[in-house]
Amino acid sequence: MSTETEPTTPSPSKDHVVCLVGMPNSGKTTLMNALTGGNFKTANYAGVTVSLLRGRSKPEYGTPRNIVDLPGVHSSVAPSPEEELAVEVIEGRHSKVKPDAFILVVDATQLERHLKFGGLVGRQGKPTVIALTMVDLLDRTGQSVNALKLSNALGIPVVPVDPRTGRGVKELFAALDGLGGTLWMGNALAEVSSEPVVAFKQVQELLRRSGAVTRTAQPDSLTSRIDRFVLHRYFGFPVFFLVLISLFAAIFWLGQPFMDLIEGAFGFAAASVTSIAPDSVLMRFLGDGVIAGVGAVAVFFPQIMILFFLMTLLEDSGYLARGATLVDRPLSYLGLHGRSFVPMLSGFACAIPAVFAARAIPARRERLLTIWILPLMSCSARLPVYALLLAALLSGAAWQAGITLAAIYISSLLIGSLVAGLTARIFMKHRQPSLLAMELPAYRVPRWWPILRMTWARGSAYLKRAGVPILIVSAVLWLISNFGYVPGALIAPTPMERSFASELGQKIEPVLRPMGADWRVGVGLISAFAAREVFVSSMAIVFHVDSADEQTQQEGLLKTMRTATFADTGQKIFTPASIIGLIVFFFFSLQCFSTVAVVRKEMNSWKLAGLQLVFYTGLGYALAVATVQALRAFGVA
Amino acid sequence: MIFPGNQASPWKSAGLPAPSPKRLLPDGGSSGIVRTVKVENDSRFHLQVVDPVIRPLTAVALNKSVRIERLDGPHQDCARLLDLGFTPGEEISVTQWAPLGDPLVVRVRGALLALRKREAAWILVE
Repeated sequence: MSTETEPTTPSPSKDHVVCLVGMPNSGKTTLMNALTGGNFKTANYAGVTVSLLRGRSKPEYGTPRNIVDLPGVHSSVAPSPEEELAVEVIEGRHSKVKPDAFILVVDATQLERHLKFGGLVGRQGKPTVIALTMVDLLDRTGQSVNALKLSNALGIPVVPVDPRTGRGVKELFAALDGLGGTLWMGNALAEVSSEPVVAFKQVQELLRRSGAVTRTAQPDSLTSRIDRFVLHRYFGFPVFFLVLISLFAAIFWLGQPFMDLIEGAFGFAAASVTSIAPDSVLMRFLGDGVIAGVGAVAVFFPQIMILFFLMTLLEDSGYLARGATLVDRPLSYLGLHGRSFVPMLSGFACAIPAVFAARAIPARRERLLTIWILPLMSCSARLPVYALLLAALLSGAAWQAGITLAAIYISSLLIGSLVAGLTARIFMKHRQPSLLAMELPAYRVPRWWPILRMTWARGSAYLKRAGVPILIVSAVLWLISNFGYVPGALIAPTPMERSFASELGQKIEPVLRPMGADWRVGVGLISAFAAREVFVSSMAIVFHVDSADEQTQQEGLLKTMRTATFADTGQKIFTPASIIGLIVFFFFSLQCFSTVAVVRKEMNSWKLAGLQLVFYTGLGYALAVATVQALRAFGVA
Repeated sequence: MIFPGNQASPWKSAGLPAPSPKRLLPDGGSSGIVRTVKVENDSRFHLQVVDPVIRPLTAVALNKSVRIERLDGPHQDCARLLDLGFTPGEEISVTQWAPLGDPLVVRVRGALLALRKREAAWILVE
């Protein structure tokens, strides 16, 4: 670019903020990744950047700057909450983020739409450079764009970049430096009207006069050809289900070797810690309480990573938006939106990112309904619980457990749909369906490195968020189940039967008896409110599974569970009926305080969050009791 | 052109609801809108198909490039469609129908947008 020749720049002050702005699917977040060398979400699905991403530019690109990635904006008319936020920041109305300069990300294959949006940025009169992305797709769309001519016509530096390889990023910063805090020369974008019909005419005229775009061939045939198959009348849904089935199959099968490895490592660590001094309370606390407790949950990390990886892959390739298109009809029948598909799918990993993903749904009513049913989606925190309970229920072949698990997953989707449909029909009678108008991005071959980096970012964030509560709950549980009130010494190590946990559990046991559980299961259920998977580790603690055992922890726990009996009657606790009851309870119950907190924050009120907590947990308890009693009435123990 | 967007249709000025092209033609109106013509020395009733005609985007054949005539639907939604690039005079085409017959994929200004049938019906094209 011609601006590279003027490197003399007043160094940007510490709180100088450069905002990345653009329409969804412009490659904005990928560019953010390249600019900062950081780990950010780079996705192909419209509206996946759900919150502001902040970062500092890499030092090799000159003076480090604060960079903020704003959510993509389709249109400032009737905006979704994230579009609203981005428009607020761009117009300088946001209280926290005040942009000093803009990097306008423009998709080279859709200049008219993207430059028309650029009008909003141009009108702010702030220093702006244009990052021209998707240049590699131009061949496919049969066009070529001359960046120099475009930048002369616009009066704004235009730098072609490929954020996926980092090409052009240096030049982009050089152009930004070249501006030196002012506008470059003209700024034709500022002239673009805010009235769409006029604005599109102006942009078309501008492009025509600049002579920057030359059409060489027919528009993108590859994307259309793939779409013809993927959205085919007969093949569309089989392909969709095949993708979903492969997704879940990969999660369960690819994860297994890693899970064995982690399980072995934690078992070994716990055993070696306890064996240092087998009689020391501290060592037993560290070994059986902390390490074993965390290990019981860490085992599921590989599965979560694989799920995040595959979701990112689907987003990045462009298929996720097609999936949303396919299911828009049934979802809108239920009062949801095609875009509800992505939060619902994410909900199978974790409800928290799913609640954030719901921000891309434009209408409040549909967003509310989507968030309302998210706790029913079978999140990965339930997986360890189901895995344990199914192993206890079906001691036979693994395929039986696999099929049952698949049935649980499908039912969670069906029951979620049922709840959505009923809620929409009973409580949202006067509904006006909102606009779909969803962009389908061009298919692209995914880049492995950014996807892996982002998977790691999402996965480790999940681990951090879940790890701390699990660690605390494991430690507290071990303490309350190994210490008790002793006359004279007040608090001292006691056997389980006289511990604090036992006292607490026995108080709530009358409530638990109808669902076939004793106080120890009750302790597990209560601790699971920190995170559902904590159930597994607390069961290991309250049932005193010895991690020094040669067997792996889960096998040890299963053995203990099979022999566990009620203290008063001597009957077995874990019968088919009570295990099925527990599965039903976990299926419905909202046992996740983090989800409640996130929903409260998202909706800015306790109303929905509290209602969800009470309704789903109450429903789970009622149905669990009903199931256990019905099974017993039919002769299943 | 028989009814350009800003002129009142003859049905409307007669206080009648405009007939849908679907009801008038056996092929679902895909070939155009119909008007009656008087043929000299013939007292019979003649129907003539006239092109170009205005019809909703949902009645347009796949991959046929058509020009947007106007938008006619809820104000807010149409304002957003306009802002997304569906402005009068623009050439668009339907590239795909989803398996369940809804939504449909429309190419506009180099982008592919999925629109529900009811949204596409607001876009009147010629």
